Amino acid sequence: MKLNLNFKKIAGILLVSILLAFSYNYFSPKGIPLIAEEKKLSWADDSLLFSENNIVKKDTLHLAENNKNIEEKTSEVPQRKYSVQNDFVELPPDVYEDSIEENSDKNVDEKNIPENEKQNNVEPESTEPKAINLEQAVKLYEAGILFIDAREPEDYKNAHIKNSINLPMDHFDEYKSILDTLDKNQPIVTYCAGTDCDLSIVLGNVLFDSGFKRIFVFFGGWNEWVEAGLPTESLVQ
Amino acid sequence: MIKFFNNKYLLLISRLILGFIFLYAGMEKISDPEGFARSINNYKLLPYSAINIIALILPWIEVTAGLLLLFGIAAKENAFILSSLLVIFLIAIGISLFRGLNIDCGCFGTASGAKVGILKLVENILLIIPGLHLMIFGSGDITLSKD
Repeated sequence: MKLNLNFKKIAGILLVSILLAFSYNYFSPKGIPLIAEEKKLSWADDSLLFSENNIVKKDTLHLAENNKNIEEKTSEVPQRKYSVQNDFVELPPDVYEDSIEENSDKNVDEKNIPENEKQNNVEPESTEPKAINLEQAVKLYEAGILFIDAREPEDYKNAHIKNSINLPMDHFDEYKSILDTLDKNQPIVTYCAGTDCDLSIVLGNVLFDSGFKRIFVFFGGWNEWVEAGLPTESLVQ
Repeated sequence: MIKFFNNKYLLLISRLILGFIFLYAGMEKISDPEGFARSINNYKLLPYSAINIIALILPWIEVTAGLLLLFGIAAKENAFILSSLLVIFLIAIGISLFRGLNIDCGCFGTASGAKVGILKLVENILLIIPGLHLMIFGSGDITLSKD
C-alpha cells in the first residue's frame, strides 16, 4: 500500500499552475493586483452625520420616487413598498415621532426653498466611504436614508433591514442597473452580514467610485441590527 | 477487497468525480478572481497582502490537477494535490465554524453562494475518499498515460 508519489511531478504541476495563473491574470481584463492593498475605513464623525442628516431630509423628497423606480426595475421584489413616510410609523415611538414632524415640516419647507439656496446648504462631499456604528446607522435610518443590502439575494429574501434594497456584491453586474435610478447626491448606507464580511465595504467603495459621494458603511451590519431588535422585513411568505 | 478497489471502472469513476468537481470549481473561481479573493478574506485566516496571490494561484492548481486527473495523467500526484487542498479547506471551514463565522464558503467561487457549515465539512470529507482511492491505486487502465 505504498503511495510511491513522485514529488518532482507534484512540483512540476504546481509550477505550471502558478505560471498559468500569472500569465492569465496579466492578460485578463478581470486581472487583479498580486498584492492587495487594504483600504482602511475611517469612522464617520457625528458632526458629519448630523450635517448629512440635513441633506438627507432634503433627499427624502426624492427617495420615495427613486424607490418606486427601483420597485419597477426589480421584478423579484414586487410586493415591497418603499414609501418612506409610512415606514416611520414602525420605528420606536420615542425617536420617530420627532423625526416625522421634523421631516414633514422640512419637506413642506423644502418645496419652497429656491434651488440655489438648497445648493448653498449642501455640505462638502466625503473623500471616501465612512464607517458608521449602530447608533449612527439608526439615526440615518430614522432620517430615511436608503440602506443597501450587499448580501446574497437568498439572504435578502429571508430577512433584511426594513426598506433596504438588495444589491448583491457578488452579482453586481446583474443588479447594477438599480444604480441608474438613484440620485448620486443622496446618502446611502451599505451593509452586509456583519463584521465577518466585507461586502458592504467593497460595495461602498464601488458606489463611491461610481460617483456616489455620500456613502456610509454600517460596519455591524445585519447581525448587529437584528440583535438590537430594529425594524426588519422578509420577502418569504 | 484490494481487487475491488483496483477495478479500472471504479478508478475511472473516482477520477471523473474528483476531476470534474475541481475543474468546475477552479473555472468558476478563475472567472471572478476578485470575488474569490473576497471569499478568502472573509475567512480571516491569511494576511491581507497574501490574499490576491492565493486567489490567483489556487484555482489554476484546481483546474490543472482536475484536468490531468480526468485524462489519467499523473493520477496519484494530482489526487495527492487535490486531497491536500481538501484537507486545507476542511481546516479552514472547521476554524470558521468554531469561530461562528457566517460567511460564504467560496467553494465554487461566488457561483453557489453556499455558506460554511457542517454540510461543507461533510462534502469535503466525502471528496477525500476518491482522492485517497486514486492516491493508493493510481489511475487504472483507462488512461492517456501510465503512472
